[in-house]
Amino acid sequence: MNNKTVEEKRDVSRKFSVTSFDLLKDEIQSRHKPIVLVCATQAANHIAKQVLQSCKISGWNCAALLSQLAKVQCTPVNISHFKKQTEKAFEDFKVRFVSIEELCKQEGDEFDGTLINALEEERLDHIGEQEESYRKTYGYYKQNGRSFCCNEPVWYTLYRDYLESLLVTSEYHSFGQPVAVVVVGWVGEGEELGTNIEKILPKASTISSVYEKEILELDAPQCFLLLERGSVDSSATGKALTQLRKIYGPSVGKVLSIPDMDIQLHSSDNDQAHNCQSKQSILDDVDNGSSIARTGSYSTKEFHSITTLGLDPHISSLVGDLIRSFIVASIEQRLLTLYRLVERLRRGVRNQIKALFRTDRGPREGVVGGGLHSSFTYLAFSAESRVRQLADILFMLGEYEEAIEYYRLASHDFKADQAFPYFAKSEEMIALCLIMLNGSPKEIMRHFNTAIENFLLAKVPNEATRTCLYASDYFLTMELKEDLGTLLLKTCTMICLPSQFKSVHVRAAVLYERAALCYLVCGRWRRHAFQLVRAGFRFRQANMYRHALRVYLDAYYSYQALGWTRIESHLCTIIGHIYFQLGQFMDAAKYLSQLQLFVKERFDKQVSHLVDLFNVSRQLKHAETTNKEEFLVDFPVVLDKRTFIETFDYPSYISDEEYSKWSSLECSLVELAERWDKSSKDSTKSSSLPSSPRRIRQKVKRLTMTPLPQKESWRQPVPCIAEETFYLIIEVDNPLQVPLLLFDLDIIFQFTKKGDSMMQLHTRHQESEHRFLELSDSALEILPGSVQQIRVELKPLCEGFLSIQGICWSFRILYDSIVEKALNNMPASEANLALDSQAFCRCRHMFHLRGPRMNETKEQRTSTTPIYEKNHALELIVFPSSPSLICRFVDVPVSLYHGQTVEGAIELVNYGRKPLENIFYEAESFSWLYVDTDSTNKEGLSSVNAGHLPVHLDCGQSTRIKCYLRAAELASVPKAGIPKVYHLVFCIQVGRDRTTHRWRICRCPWNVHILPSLLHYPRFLRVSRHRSGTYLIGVEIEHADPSNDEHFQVLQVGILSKGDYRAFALQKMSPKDDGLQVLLKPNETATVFFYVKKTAVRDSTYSVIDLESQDSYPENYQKPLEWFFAEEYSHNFALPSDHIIICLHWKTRKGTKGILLDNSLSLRRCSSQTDYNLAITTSKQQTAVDDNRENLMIQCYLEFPSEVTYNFKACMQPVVVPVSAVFRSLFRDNAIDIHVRALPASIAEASRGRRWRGHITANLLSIPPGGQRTIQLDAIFPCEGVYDAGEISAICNNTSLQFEGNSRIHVVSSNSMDQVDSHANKT
Amino acid sequence: MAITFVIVSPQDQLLYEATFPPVSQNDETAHLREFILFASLDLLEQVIWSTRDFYLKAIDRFNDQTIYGLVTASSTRLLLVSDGKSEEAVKNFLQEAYELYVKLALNPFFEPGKPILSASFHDRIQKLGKKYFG
Repeated sequence: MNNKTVEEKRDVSRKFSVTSFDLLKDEIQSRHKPIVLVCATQAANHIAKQVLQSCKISGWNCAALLSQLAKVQCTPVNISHFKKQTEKAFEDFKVRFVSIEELCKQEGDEFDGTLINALEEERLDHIGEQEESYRKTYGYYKQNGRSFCCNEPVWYTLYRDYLESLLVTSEYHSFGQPVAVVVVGWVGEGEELGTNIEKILPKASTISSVYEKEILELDAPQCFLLLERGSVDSSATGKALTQLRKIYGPSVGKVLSIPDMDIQLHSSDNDQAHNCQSKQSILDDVDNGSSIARTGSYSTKEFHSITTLGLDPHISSLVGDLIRSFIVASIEQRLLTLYRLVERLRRGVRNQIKALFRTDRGPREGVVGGGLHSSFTYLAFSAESRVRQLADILFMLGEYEEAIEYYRLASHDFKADQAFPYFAKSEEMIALCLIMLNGSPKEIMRHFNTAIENFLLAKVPNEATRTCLYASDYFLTMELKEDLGTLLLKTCTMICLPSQFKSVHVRAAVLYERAALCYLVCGRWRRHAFQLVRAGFRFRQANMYRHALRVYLDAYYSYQALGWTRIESHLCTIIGHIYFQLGQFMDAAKYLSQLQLFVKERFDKQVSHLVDLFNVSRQLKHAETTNKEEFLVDFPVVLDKRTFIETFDYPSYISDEEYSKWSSLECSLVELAERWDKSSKDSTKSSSLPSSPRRIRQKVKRLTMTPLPQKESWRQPVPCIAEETFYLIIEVDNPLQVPLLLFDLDIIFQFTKKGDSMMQLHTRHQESEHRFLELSDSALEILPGSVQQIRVELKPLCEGFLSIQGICWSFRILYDSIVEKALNNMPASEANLALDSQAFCRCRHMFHLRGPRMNETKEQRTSTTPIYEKNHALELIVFPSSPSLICRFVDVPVSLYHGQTVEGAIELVNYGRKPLENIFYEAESFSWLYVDTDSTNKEGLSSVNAGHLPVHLDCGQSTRIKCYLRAAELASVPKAGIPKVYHLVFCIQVGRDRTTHRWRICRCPWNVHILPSLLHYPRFLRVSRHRSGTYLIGVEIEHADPSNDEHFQVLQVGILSKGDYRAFALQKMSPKDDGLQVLLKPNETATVFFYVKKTAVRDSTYSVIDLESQDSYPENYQKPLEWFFAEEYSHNFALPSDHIIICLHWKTRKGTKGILLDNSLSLRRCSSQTDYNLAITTSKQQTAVDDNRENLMIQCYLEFPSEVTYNFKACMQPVVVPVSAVFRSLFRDNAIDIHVRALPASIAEASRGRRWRGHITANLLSIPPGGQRTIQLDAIFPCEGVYDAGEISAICNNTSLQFEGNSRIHVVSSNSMDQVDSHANKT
Repeated sequence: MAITFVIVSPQDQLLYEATFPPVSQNDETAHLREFILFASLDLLEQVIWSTRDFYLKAIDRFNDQTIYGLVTASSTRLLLVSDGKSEEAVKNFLQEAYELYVKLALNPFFEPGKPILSASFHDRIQKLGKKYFG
C-alpha cells in the first residue's frame, strides 16, 4: 500500500514538473527513439482496425496495434555490445512503430503556415480554457514575483510538440531511419499472402531516398508477423508460415493470435463496463496528443487497460518476445556492423595519423559535392555517415558518453570539410549529449550557439529553429531564462533577416513567442508583452490570424489600463481587424469602439477607425438576419456623473409644507432686502447686510427658480405623473477630432407596471400594447473635443416604477471640409463606405450611478472597499395621470424689446377626463407675467407671477385669460438676438389635506427674441410737493437709440402698484382731457409728471387708474401723499419704493404700440425740507414779453423768489430755490416744441436734479389749447448776489418767448440762524 | 527620428509624454517608441539596484535606439528614447526635467499617480527639449 502511494506521488511529481530537468531528459530521449517500420498487408490492416475499433480507437492500423501491445511488456534486455554490460529495461528504448502510411504522410509535410493553420483550428477549440489558465498563471505570477515557477501553458505545450514533430525530420541525422522492418500479414490471405507482401516491401523501400538507402545498404532485418483470429484453423497458419519461410528464409516468422472479437466482447461485458471509463480517458489522451510522438511516453501502468482488448496474456508476451528477440537483435547487428566499419575507416592510431597528414580531401567514397559554391553531401555509406549513424544509435540506446565521442569525431570531419549543416547537427547532438550527461551549461550553450550559427550559415532555417527550441527547453529548465531570451531574439533576428527563407514569419513568430515565455518566467513581464506583440506581428504576416489573435490578446492584457494609450489603440485596432477577418464581428466592434484610446492618433487615422467600425456594424447587420442578437457597442463617451433627470421640481413636486418653507424663505429675503434699503443710510449696520437688494433678489430667484437637480436627488426616486414629460440630461463627450452626429436616441429601461412583479428591460421600439415610454427624437451634432449636454424628452405612459438603465443611439461622421479632405486621402472603397448613408454604428451605454460613500458605521468607515449608497437619481415613481391641460399663449409676439410688456392671452383647454379646478400657475421669473383673471374688472389685475386661477374648466372646455407678458427680468441684461424660453407651469392640488402634493399638469413655453429697448427710464423718480398738497412724480423718458431716427410718441402714462398695503391713486396732470402727446426724437429726453394721491391706507386690492377714463375719484383719494408717508414712517414700514410700476403706452409713427413696464423705479420723497429751513424766499412773478402776435398767444412767466436769504457759511453748498415757469396757451391748436433754455450754472432742471451745462435746449412738453403748463426748475445760487432770471429763455413753435416782468433775484447771505429767522420774520 | 520622453509612475502608469520635435501627422512610429519604453522598464528595475545615482545612463537598446532612464526618490521613472544623441545632453535634460517634476509635485493640487495635464509643465518640457535636442 505504501509502495503504491509512493509510486503515485512520483507519478504526480513527474506529471507536474513539466519544465524540470529530468523531464526534459525524458523528452529528449523519447524524441530519439529507434523506429521500427511496419509494413502491413491490406487484410492485416483491416484486422488491426477491427481490434482497435473495439477499443473505440478509429483510423489506426497495425503500427498502432503493435505500439499498444508493446507497452504491455517491460522485459529487461541485454545489449551485448555496450562497454558496460548493464541491463536495460525495454522502456528505456521506447521503440517506435511507424507504419508506411504515416511515413508517406510525414514525407509530404512542410513547415509552413498553411499546414499549421489547418490544424490549429482543432487545437484552439479549447482556447477559452487555455486562456483562462494562462491568465491565472500570469496573474499569480505578477502577484508573487520571482518566487513563482510558472508552468508552461497548455496551449504552448501542445503547439510546441506539434511544431517539433514537424521539425524533427532532418537529413543530417539518422534518427528517422528505421532499425528494423516488421511485415504483418494475415493467415487468412492464404496463397496470396506472399504476393501481397511482395507488393508492400518495394513500397517501403521507396518511401524516401534516405530510407531506401538505409534499408538496402544495411539490409535492415525483416520480421514477418502473421495475424490469426480465433476462428481460423491452425493448418492455415502453418501453410502461411511455410509459404513465408520458403521465400524469406527459415529464421523469421511469428504468429499473433487474436481471438474472435464477437465472442470476446460477449464474454467480457463485465470487464468492459468496469474499465470503460479509464480506457476512454487514456484513449482520449492519446487522441489529443500527437500519436507518433506521444505513444512511447506513456507509462506501463496506464496501459494495463489495454488488456481489455481481449488478447490473451500469451499474445502480449509474444509481442514482447518479438521485440526482444527481433528488434534488439537487429540493433545489435547494426551496432556491430557500424563498429567494424568505423574502426576500419576512422578509428585507431593509424587512421588518426593518416588523417593528420591528409592534405587533399578530394573525391572520397560516399561524399558528393564540395568546392567553393556547393556543400558536401554525405551518402549513407560514407565514412562520416557511418560515424554519425553509430553515434545516433548509441544516443538512442542511452550510451551518451560513447555517443558524444563519435559525434565529436564526426564534427571534426564535418568542420574540416566545411559541411556546415552536418557540422551544426553534430554540435547540436553534442549539446544534447551534454544535457543528458549533466554537462556544463556554458559548454552546452556554446554548442547550441555554434549549431544555430552554422545552420543559418548553411541557410537551413528549419534546423536552426529546431535547435533553438531545444536550447530554449534546456535553458528554461536550468532557469537561465534571461540569457535564453537574448539568445532567442538574436536567433530570431538572424533567421528573419534572409527573406528568401520559406516561412520566415512563422519561425520568427514561434521564437518570439518562446522568448516571451522566457521573459515571463523570469519576471520580465513587460518584455514578455513586447515579444508577444512582435510574435503577433509575425503571425499576422504569415496569415495565421488565430495565433496572432491569441498573442495579441495576451499582450493587450498586459498593457490594459496603464495609460499607454498609443499602445492600447494600436492593439485595439489590430485585434479588432483580426476579429473582423475571422468573422467575429461583435468582438471586432468591442475593440474598434474604444474611441477614447484613439485620441492621440492622427486625424485621418481616427476617421479610418470610424470607417472600420461602421464596416463591422454593417457586416453584423447582414448577419443579424439569421442571428437575432442586436449589435450594440458600448460607447464610452457618456459621463455618468452628470447624468440626471430634470423635472420642474419647484414647486410642482414638493409638498405644501415645503412650499411654505420656500415661500417663507423668499419672504424673509425680501424683508432682508427691504431692511437693507431702509438702513442703507446707516453705515454701521450695512456691513452685516448683503451688498445690494438687487443681489438679494437675484439670490431669491436662484433659490426658487433653478430647475437643476436637487442636491439630495439621489436619495429617493423622482416622482412624476404619467404622460408628463421630463428630461434626461446626459453629458456627452466627443474625445475625437472628428465631428459626430448622434441620432436615433433610445432609452434602455426597466418598467414595473403597478401590480406586476416582473421587471423587464425595454427599449422604446416595443409593440404598441407594451409601450411604456415615449421620447423625442432629435439629431445632435457633437463637435470635436467638446462636451455637450443632451436633453432627452421622456414621457412615461402609465403608472408604475421606471428605472432608466442606459441609453443607446446611433452615430456617424458629420461631414465637413476637413473630414472630406481626410476621406480623399483614403482608398476609394473606404471613402465610399464612409460616405454611405448606412455607415453608422449603433451604440449603447449603461449608467452606473452611485451615491456618496457611506460613513455612518465603523464598518463603513474602515472598509477597504468603499461602500456607496444606492443612487436613485434615474428612478421614477410614475403616479397615475392627472387631468390633462393644454396651455398655449395666444397673440404674443416672437420678439420684443427689453423691458417691453405686451398684452396677450393664455388659452387653456381641458383635454382630460376630469373637470379642472384649483389650478395654480407659476412663472419661472418674477416679473414677466401678470394675469388678468377678469378682464371686466379693472382693479382685478394680479401682478404676481404665481397664484391661483379662479376658473372652472369642464371636460373639453377652453378659456382665455388676459395677461401681460414682459420679456425681461429684474437684473438681467438681455443679449440681442438670443432667444429665451420662459415657462409657465400649471399645477393642481391632489387631495384635500395639506400633506398632499401639487402636481404639475402642464408647462407652457414662450420663446421670444429679446431686443435692446429703445426707450429708457431713469432709475428713480422724483417726488415733490405741489401747491395743492398732492405729490408730483416726474418720469423721464429717453429715446436712447441714436441709430434709429424714428420718432416715438408717448400716448399714455399710468402707474401699476403692487403689494398688499401699497396702493396709490394716480391723477393725470390737469386738465383731465389732455392727451399725452410727447414726441421723442433720437437722443431726446422728456419728462412726464403725475399728481399722486393715496387711495387708502390699507387697501387689499390693487388699483390702476386708466388715464383715458373720465372717472371721478371719491373724496378719500384727496388725502395728501405726505400723510401717507408720515404714517408709513411712523409704523416703521419701508417706503413703497420698489413696488411702483410706471406704465407707458407708446407708439411709433409706423404704428407699433406697446407698454413698457419697469418696476425698478423708486419713489422718493422730496428731501428739500431742510433747504426750506435754511432759505427764505419771496415769491415773484415774471412774465415773458409779447413780441408779436404769435407770441402773445402764449403767456409765460416765472414764479421765483424775489429775494433769498441763505447761510452759505453754515451750509457750505449752493442754495437751491424752486422756480416755476408757467406757460399758458391761447392757441386754438396744441402748442408744441416748447423749449426752455437756461444759462450755465444758473438754473437746474427740477425733475432731474442736475445742472444744465451750456446752452442745452430741452424739449419739454406741448400745451393743449387753453391749457397751462408749469415747469418746475431749480435755481442754483452758489453765492450771494443779484441774479438775472432773464437768462432763461423759452422757444415755442420756433419762436422765442420772453418772460414778463423783472427777472432779478436777490440772494442775501445771512451769518447765523438767528439772523435768518429774524429776516424771515420780517419778510 | 523623434525623441520621446515619458514619465512613468511606480505602477507603470504613463503620467506624461512628450516628443521632440512635437509629434507630426506623419509620425508612424510613435506607438513603437511607447512599446520600447515600456519594455525597457524591466531592465530599469534591474539597473536601479546596481547604482546609487538617480540617473541610470543607458539602460536598454532596441535596434539603433537607446533608452535612458532616471528614477526619482518616489520611484517615478523618467525615460527617454533617442537615436544617437549625446549622452551629456540626455543627462542634463533628464536632470532638469526631474527638477521640473519636483516643482510640479510641490504644488498642493498635484495628485501623485495621476496624468500630468499642466500646460505650463508641458511648455517647460518642450523648451527644455528644444534647448538640448533642438
